Amino acid sequence: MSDDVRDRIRSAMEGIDFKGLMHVTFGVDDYYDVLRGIMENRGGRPTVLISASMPHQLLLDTLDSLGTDVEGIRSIDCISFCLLGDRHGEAIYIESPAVLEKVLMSLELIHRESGSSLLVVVDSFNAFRLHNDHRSMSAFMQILAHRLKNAGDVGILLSLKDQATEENDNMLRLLSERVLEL
Amino acid sequence: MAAETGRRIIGTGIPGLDNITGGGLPRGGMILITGDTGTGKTTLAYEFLVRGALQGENGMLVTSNAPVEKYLSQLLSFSFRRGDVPGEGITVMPMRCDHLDIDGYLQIIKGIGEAAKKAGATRMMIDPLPRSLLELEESQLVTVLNGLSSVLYSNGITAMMVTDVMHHVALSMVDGIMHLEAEDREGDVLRTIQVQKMRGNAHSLSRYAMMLSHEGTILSRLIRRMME
Repeated sequence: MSDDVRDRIRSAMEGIDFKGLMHVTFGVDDYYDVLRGIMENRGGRPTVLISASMPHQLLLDTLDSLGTDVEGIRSIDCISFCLLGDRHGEAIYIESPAVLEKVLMSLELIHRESGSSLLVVVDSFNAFRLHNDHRSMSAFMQILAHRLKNAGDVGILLSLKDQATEENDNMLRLLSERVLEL
Repeated sequence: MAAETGRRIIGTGIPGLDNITGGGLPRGGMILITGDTGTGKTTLAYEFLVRGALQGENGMLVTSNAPVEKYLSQLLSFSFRRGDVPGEGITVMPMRCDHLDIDGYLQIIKGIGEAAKKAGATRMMIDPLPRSLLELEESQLVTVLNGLSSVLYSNGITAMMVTDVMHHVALSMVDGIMHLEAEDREGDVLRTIQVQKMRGNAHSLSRYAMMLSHEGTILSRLIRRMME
């Protein structure tokens, strides 16, 4: 099962021929396999993890312990600040996942620092949706998708199956270049 | 790189800012940067000087903050500027203005004009606009600001003037106003910027989110939430 998920992620990432957003939906049991699949197939592209589900360091440590190379991954961590957890140099900490503008501006900051196109992983739509209403999420996703395209970036939006409303689903289908249902 | 969009306008060089000002700032104009303490006024005006210096436009930093060395050491370090201030295209002019009357201010303006000419400055930052200046009688304030406007315009110097005092005379006489705020969202605070006035430009009137960083000012559209 886990190899199947990682294979499908690999195959989807090998075939990426667009700039913009790919929406990946999956069952909760596949969470780590999805992330492993993405991180193992980033092909040297500078990578940014926008985390609202769990503290980025915990996530990276877990992936590391599973044998996935997480070297050089930058993070925009929207969860550790509220927990007042430890700080790590590679991360930008946002006080709250409800201040979506800071997420967008932090991504721009990393873009200016790296000077190259990025792979941006958003973990996850559901986690951000907990803190933001539909209107805010629509505006956020719209700006993010266009910003990724303009900058020549590829974004991967993670979301858990069967947890989005029809309204959310329609919006994400409209903004995504590709949808991968696992 | 900031584009020069005709003779009348200068691009600031700050990514995104020229979009919301309607192309840039009126050349030789006085631009007021208003807002409460901590909203980013000084950093924005300083970046205006640094971006200018990067493209060969000399700048002058006029300040009444004392001691000036402490003030300079606390300016945000930008990754795209090497070297200290003063130096590399930016000169500093300390301004002593305690208990000055109108004649004293007119003398200072003359001195600023001469120093700017000598330095070949085309950009200026005045931080802050002295409180004692804004406490002059209205007719005297008008005279002083007209004098400053003449000196700047005749020398082709565009100035950002920082203040936390919203004085109606200054607001009406300047060529542009950018207002900075710290917006409170249930405890989370977000800096914002709004171009309230930019003479001759079709500028945005919307507020934008703003982040200060070592890579310069970063702007984003504000994301509106549903009404509770």
